Amino acid sequence: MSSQEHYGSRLPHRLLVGVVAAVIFFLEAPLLILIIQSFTAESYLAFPPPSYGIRWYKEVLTSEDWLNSISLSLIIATIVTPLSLIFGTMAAFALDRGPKNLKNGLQAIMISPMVLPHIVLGLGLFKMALQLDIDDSMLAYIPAHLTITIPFVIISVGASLQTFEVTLEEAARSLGASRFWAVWYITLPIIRPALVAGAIFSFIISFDEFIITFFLTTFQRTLPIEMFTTLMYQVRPSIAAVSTLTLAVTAFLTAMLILRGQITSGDKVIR
Amino acid sequence: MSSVELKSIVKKYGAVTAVASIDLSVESGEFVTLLGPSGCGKTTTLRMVAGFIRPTSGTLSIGDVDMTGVPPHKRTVGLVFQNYALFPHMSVRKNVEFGLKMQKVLTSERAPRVQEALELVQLEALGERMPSELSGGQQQRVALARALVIRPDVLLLDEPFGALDKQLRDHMRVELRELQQKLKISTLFVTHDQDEALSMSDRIVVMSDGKVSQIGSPTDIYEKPKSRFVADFIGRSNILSAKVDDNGKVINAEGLKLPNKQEKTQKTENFSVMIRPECVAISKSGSKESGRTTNIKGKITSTIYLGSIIQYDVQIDQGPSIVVTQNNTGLENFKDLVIGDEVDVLFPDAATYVLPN
Repeated sequence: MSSQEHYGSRLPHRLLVGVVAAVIFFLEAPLLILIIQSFTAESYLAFPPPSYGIRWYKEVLTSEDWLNSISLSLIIATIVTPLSLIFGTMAAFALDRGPKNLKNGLQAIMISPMVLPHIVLGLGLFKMALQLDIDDSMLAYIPAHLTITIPFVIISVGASLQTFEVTLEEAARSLGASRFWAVWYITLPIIRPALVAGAIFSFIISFDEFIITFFLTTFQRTLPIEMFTTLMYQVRPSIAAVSTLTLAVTAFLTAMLILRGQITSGDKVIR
Repeated sequence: MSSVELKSIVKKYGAVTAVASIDLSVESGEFVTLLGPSGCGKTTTLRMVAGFIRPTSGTLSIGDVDMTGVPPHKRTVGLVFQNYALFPHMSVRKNVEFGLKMQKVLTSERAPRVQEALELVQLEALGERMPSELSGGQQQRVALARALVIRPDVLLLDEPFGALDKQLRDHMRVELRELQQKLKISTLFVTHDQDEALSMSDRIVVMSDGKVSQIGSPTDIYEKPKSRFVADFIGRSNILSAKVDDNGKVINAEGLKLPNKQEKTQKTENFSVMIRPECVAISKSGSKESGRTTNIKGKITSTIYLGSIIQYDVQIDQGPSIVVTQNNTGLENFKDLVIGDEVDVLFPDAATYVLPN
């Protein structure tokens, strides 16, 4: 066995496999149980369910509360994603092409919302939204979500720009393309995998966002907030069905992300 | 009419001067090479002509129009980069077409012009390939076609052969020169390779430390260098400090006494002479070839076999050590020479060149 050479002896290797398996199990098993429970035909959550059906999916997809919250979340994420992509890409270009001595400082400021405690960020945004009288509205949700999605775009596009050969843009400019068109025709198509990644991250983060949005809502409910509020009063299988639906959306987008990465890194070689 | 003209061009980065007042012109249809060691300012100069760097002072005109502050996309220059900079996401055809698209050439006119450019570089069969599917030499040709298709006022080449192996480089050198002469396109070429400069150029601009050391034809630059730097940078050379002896009849170069025929120099102070290694002939002492013109003796202290030539270090009796190269003619008399051999050294009159400075 070649693995013995790598891990020295059999015992530590087995231990490693065991730990990895345990981590995967504890991460994934609750999700799996949740998915199975969502297909119960009973009116209570049990594992394993005594009988199966899609009763709770029907309920979720006909309930006005659930549908309103799902559509609110989708609308927010759909508006946030392109804005996040545009602003984040512009910021990444500025950091990459701007004065080198300012780069580190500016980058730290721009991506700080990613590491700041969201509860603090939420509190700050809440105070500001109240002052501006925009709380409980799109005018508050969208900028709030942008503060946490833009850093992801900055990071993914920024990393891509670092390996991008600027001479390609110069070649385009020498051929008659202005700076803007050189970026449009040459740079953006080449860094597209990073743009796609940034967009998908933005969508998922906005769609899942709970803490910050919770501060900003009063009557309106996004999907995560609706789920949380429902859970406060009762534990019904509809929660499991909604969770599974959310999971499906996220999993689909993540799969696209992984697939894209493979397509772009394997097929076309970019020097 | 000159295609490119630089007048007192200066480029400073803070306290660092990259280019210190350059005057230079490329005449219509001329092939001019900027030659110099790395950091001499040759690439900075080229990039100023392309428009990527704005000169600190001075004026730059292309086709007799002042272009000093004009952005790159509004100048008609064809630029070829060392790494080719082909657009990796576009086919060869799209790469070549790009410039025409940017210049808003009608779609119907583009196809024939792209075809013409591809034929020029003999790539008409590879139009649908992606750049990553091409060899280095083919990529180089695409880059050339892409630069030429826009019919530029001037073609700018930044060390275009740097990434190719020697054989391909020699081949591309001939091909590019032939193409340039066929199209009569004004060309500014940047290189640190003296062979490229000597073999391709109409004129060479030797640069060092952001200044022009000498401008001249390849023959001038090689045979009549104006300074020690140029003599040293172009080709191997022996540069010896010298003075005039015997009422001006003899040039005494560190003990090596050469006749001052036709009064090569009237200098009374110390000066430098250059002796190209290939101009000196050596033969084994006492052999039948020896005993012409000057009878100077020396001893071989090292030999280097370089294939087509053999290079010797010869210690002149009561004189300097000089480098001598001899063509490898296949005759045994050269190959016989080994370290320690006594040799007669022959300096034809033309071998000695007095450096002006």
